[in-house]
Parts: sequence; C-alpha cells; structure tokens
Amino acid sequence: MTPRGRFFQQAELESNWPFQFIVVAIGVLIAMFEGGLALWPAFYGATPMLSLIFLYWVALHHEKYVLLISGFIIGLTSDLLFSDLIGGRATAYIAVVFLMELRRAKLLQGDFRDVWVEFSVVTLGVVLFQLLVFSAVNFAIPSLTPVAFQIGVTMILFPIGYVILSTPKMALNRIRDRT
Amino acid sequence: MRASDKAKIRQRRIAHIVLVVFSFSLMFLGTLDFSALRSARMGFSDFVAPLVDLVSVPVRGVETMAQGIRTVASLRAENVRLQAENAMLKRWRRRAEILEGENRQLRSVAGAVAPERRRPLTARAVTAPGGAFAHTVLVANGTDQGIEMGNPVVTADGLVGLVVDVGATHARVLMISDINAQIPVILSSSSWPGVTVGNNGPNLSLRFLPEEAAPKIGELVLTSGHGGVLPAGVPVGRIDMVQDDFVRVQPAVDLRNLSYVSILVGGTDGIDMGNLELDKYYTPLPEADDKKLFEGVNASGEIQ
Repeated sequence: MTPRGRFFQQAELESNWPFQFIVVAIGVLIAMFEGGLALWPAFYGATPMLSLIFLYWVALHHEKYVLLISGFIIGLTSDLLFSDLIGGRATAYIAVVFLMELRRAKLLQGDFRDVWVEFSVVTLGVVLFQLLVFSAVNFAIPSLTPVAFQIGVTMILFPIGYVILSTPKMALNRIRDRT
Repeated sequence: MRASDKAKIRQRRIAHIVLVVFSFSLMFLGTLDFSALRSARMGFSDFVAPLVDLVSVPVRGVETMAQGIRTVASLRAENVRLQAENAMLKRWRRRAEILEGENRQLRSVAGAVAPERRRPLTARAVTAPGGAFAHTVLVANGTDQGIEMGNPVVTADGLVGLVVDVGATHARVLMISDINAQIPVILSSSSWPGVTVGNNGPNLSLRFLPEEAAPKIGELVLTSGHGGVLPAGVPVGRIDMVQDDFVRVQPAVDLRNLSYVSILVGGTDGIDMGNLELDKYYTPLPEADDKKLFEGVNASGEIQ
C-alpha cells in the first residue's frame, strides 16, 4: 500500500525557518549599523545601503533563506530608523526579493560583472522608487546630490560587501569538502 | 503536481499579495499622519535606539580616532588661530558689555518685558540623518525629562531644529536642513523677515523676502520668533550666495558633526503643544497681498 495523506509526509527535520530568521536578524542589525554610519560626517545624509547589498547577496546565493517578508522587515527597519516614508524602502525591498527570484538562475550563469551591473540597476530602482514616492507625497524634489552620492557609494561598496559575505561561505564549503 | 502542493502555492501567492498591499498601504497611512502610527513609530525608536547606539560603537571609535589624528596634525595651526580668535573675542566681550549696559538702560525706559526663560536640557545625539529623504536626528531624552513636541534644539553655534516626535526616553528632532523645515527668520542687519527652507542638502534657501530687502553675503540670519514656538534671535546661518531671487544660507551649526545638543524646554505658554500643527504657526502670505507679510499664531495662541 502506498502511504498517502499528511501523516505519511516526510518529517521536516531540516527546516529553513531558523536560517530565515537569522537572515532577518542579520539584515536588521546591518540596517542599524547603516544608521550608525550616518554619524560619520563623510556619510552624512546619505549612508551606503549595506542592507540592500546583504539582501541581494542572500537572495542570489541562498534563495531558500530569504522570503518576501524578510525584505519587508529589513526595509521597514530602515524606514523607521531613517524616518523615511514608512513602507517606502520596505516595498522596494520586497520588489528586490521578487526580482531576484526571477533573475537568479540567469545571474548565476554569468560572471561577477553581470551581478554587479544588475545590482547597480536594482540600487538605482530602489532609490528612484523612494524619490518618486517622496516627491509625490511632499510635492517637492529633495537635493539630488545626496541621492546620487548614496547610489554611487552603494555601487562602489558592492564588490567589497560581496567578498566579505562570500569569504565565510567559501571557507565553510572548503572545510565541508575536506571532511 | 499534487492538490496539496497547488493549495500551498495558492496560499503563498495570497500571502505575497497581502504583504505587498500592506506595504503599500503603510506608505499612505504614513502620509496621513495617524497619531497611533506616530506613537508606534516613536515606541519602536525608544526600543531600538539603545541597540543602534551599541551597533554604532565601532563607527564612533573610528571617528574619534580619525578626529584625534586630525587634531594632532593641525595643533600648531590651531594654536595660532585660537590666539587670534581669543584676541577678537576679548574685543567682542568689551563691546558686548557696553551694549548690555545700553540695552538695560533702554529696557528700563521702554518698560519692555524680557521673554520667559527656557530651560536648556543637554541631550546626546544617538543617530544622524542617514537617508537622502529625511533630515532628522534621534536624541537620548524624552517625555521622562519633560521634553515636548515643538521644543527648539540648539547648540552653542545656533539652531539645529525642533522636536517633532517624543517617546518616553528618546525624541526625534527635525533639522533645519529637512525639506519640511520652514523657519521664520530675520536678516540681522536690516531686520527684513523671511523664511529659511531646507532641501535635504547641506544648505538652506531663504524665501519670502520682501522686494525691498537687499541680503548681503555673510549677513547673519536669526530666528524671528514669529509664532512663539522658536525663541527670537537664535542664529540660523549666514548668507553665502545671492543670485537674483535665490538666496542661499549656510547653517550656523555644523549639522554633520552633532554629538550633543541643548533642548530648550518651556517658554511656550499659550501654545497648544499637544496639537502642534507646525505649518499653521507661521504662514507666509502670497506676495500680491501687500497688507500683511506673515500670518501665524502668536504666543497667546491667537491668529494674527
């Protein structure tokens, strides 16, 4: 007799939930660190979006551990910390996770340049979306210099963030291969 | 594909749609400025501020180190500059003493009443503006210390902004450089009134100046005190560019380097601070109306 029904389903001993939770927790911490970076006069008014770099990297390499709600929570934390329009960055981050679900397979086949270009487009999209919503709500366009600076610094820091995030992963893989 | 899998996918899709709709509606709820949402936001800030403080410890450490190196490197030049500044300050002090005496005599003649003193409360800045769309800073003092919405925030150099949200232990300060900050000011030498407006950048623009006004580069811009929310005579900045109708003001305070600020508590009797609608306190009138230049609520809470 073939086992059927929910009682015969395989037990979920390797659940993704703990990892998904850790991803959200790290993302929130990075968003807070982003807030701390603003204390540095060089990043006054325009901190690099480190949380976006992290979210993009996890969505690219560990898609199982990042959900739409992860993007929402990390974005919402940034919104509340930077006192931006609540939900602006959260919505943009949801869109990023959704986009990565569609683009992931193609990006993994390409080289780093493709990943970087795609990230630059994503960064531009996130900031432009916020700018659009902000301008529509306030009927005013803010100074564009900090906006451009934020986009530029985030793009420049992406390779560094990518290497920092990939190094522990590669080290763990190497240890696993040896054992 | 099994029926249970299809049901799971459907549930997931519905959850995603609900999340996106919720996220979008949050943006619109945020613009409607619900008091429940404001207090939830401030509650979150109260909760998260100590964590942000902890996470930003390395950043503060690096900044302190960099500042130390800069200080050592420029010690000699700094000494020469300070000596010159000290000599100039001594001259100014003598001048101020003369003017103070003169002012006292004039007041006794005119019977003027000194404005009610406000109590300064020192607070540490926990965050700094991090986004390009809002210039606010979270300070480590709240209603527990007697801070209210609308309290002015200053440093020794001048005006930083005013409190727009208060939690139990933390308050959010809207800086003068924010796009929503409009400060009623006067030009120090000519006393012409105007309004400084932020643009989320490093400088402010001076608007609603009367046609007769001739702003000069380097001229000090002070708060006018219209509306009674801000005290009069606090330096806002100095004019650093005049181009046709556009007048640019450089803030008196280096807003990028805020560690501690003073919050001026009290001195707003007659103003309903619980229901502070800042845009109603000071409204420049259209230029065509040449009878009155400004309209706002005075210190007694009456529109004039």
